[in-house]
Amino acid sequence: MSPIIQHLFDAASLGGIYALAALGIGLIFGIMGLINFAHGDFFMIGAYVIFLMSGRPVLVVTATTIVVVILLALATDRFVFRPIRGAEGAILLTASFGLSYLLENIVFMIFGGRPKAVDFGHGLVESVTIGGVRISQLDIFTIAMTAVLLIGLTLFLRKTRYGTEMRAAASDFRMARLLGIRANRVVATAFALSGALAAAVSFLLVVRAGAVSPHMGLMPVLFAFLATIIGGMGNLPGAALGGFILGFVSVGLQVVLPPDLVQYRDAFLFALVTISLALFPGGLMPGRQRGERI
Amino acid sequence: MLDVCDLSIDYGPLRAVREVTIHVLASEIVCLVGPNGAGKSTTTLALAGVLPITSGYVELEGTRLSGLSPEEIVQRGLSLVPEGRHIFSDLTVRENLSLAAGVRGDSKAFGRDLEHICKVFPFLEERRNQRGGTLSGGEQQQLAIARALLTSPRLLVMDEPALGLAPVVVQQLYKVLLDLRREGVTMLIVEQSMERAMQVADRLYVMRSGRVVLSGRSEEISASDMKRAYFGVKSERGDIQ
Repeated sequence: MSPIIQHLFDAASLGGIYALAALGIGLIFGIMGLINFAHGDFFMIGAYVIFLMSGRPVLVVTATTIVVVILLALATDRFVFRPIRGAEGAILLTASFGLSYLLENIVFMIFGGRPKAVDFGHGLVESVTIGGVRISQLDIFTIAMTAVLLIGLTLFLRKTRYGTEMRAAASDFRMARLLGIRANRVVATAFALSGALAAAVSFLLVVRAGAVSPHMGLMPVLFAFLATIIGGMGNLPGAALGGFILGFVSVGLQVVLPPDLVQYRDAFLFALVTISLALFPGGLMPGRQRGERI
Repeated sequence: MLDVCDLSIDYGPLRAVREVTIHVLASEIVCLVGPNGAGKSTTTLALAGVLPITSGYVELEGTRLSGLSPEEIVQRGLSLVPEGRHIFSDLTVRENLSLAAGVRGDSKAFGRDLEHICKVFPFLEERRNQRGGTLSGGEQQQLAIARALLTSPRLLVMDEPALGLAPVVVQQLYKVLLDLRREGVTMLIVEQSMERAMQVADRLYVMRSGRVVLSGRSEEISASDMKRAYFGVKSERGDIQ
């Protein structure tokens, strides 16, 4: 029984990271129709901020990382995506690839390509025993952080004026503008939220890996894309659900695959995703089809 | 109040609207009539800033609207209820209405207007927590109009408000619109029905193939002239209207 509970915690923890990453992508896609490949580089930049600030009080590191990643997200909106707003999806995607490559190479030039160890949150790596079951503190922390952020995001979207405006804009951006809702403000709010979620993912990735590198955002963002696609592009609950499904399937494969096949876990995972898309082409919770871009 | 002068709008290489001139005076209902593809909806979308204007200009009470964004145009007092209602189906009735508050600086005045609008459309209060997408077509249309009215427009532009509604619902809807006119709301309404337009409008503009082919006070336009302009048939004098 004990190993099963441990695996469930592992799965919920990994799924939480994917869900937070997927929500950041889903927020921007829902409003702009932009698949922001550079979102993974927001994780990476956040991780390097933690690396640079390590040794300082946790609150200072946390606040600085969140502020830097939010400002970075807002800057990318203002200087990269706003000038091409309304362009074809392929152009937006290409711009996000270009931005991703630029950010990675800037970090590469400054810090080099080799991973750098980070002394942050190492206390979370230890396990605690609850009812005879050993559970990683990091898993508990990740699950708690995910829960708090999901609840916070839900409350923001449901209970605040800006949240209602964002939901309206994600549903029908043109109509939202026809009611006087400012396009720039809604998009900037989405980027800021996306940046805040990315900062949270940065913390979790740094504590898990204990190191930073210029390409560290690549795999998490790839899984986040998968999560948004499985859940249904443009549907935020779907994105979160997709993240958790990926987490549970990943850990499940890790457990059930024979030892000599475990190294091919991701291949099995991607095959399952392909089958799931064949069965549910619009994802499990299909979002609206985007008829227009902004 | 509204002056549209020599307005031309292109869709890529295609000119959809050609040198259209429309005037709307305060507290009037003006109808824009014409068959499908006449350029009526294109004109309203351009007035609201959704489509770019190729040439000509739009002024509301002397303020130039051409070139402004949709949200800036709403702030200057022109609100559009586009064809198809465009209710936010996942948002509740109250949330749909509250979106209009963003354009208003004064929350107290918004609250007063919301109270008044709920008297004009009583179902809004009864169904305030119901999702917009679950309302009937007629209720959605009324919600769309109520939402636009809450932006406190000086001119309300509606694109085919009766489209897809049962005749009895259309009758109720136009009764409300005529009540609103009595309260001083100025309206520009796109209508496909010639009869309905002639009943409710103070003045009419008939569009065909992107041009205004007939205009005047509704009582001065005969039904036969209207039909000829609408369908593009030759008049008794032999010219194509």
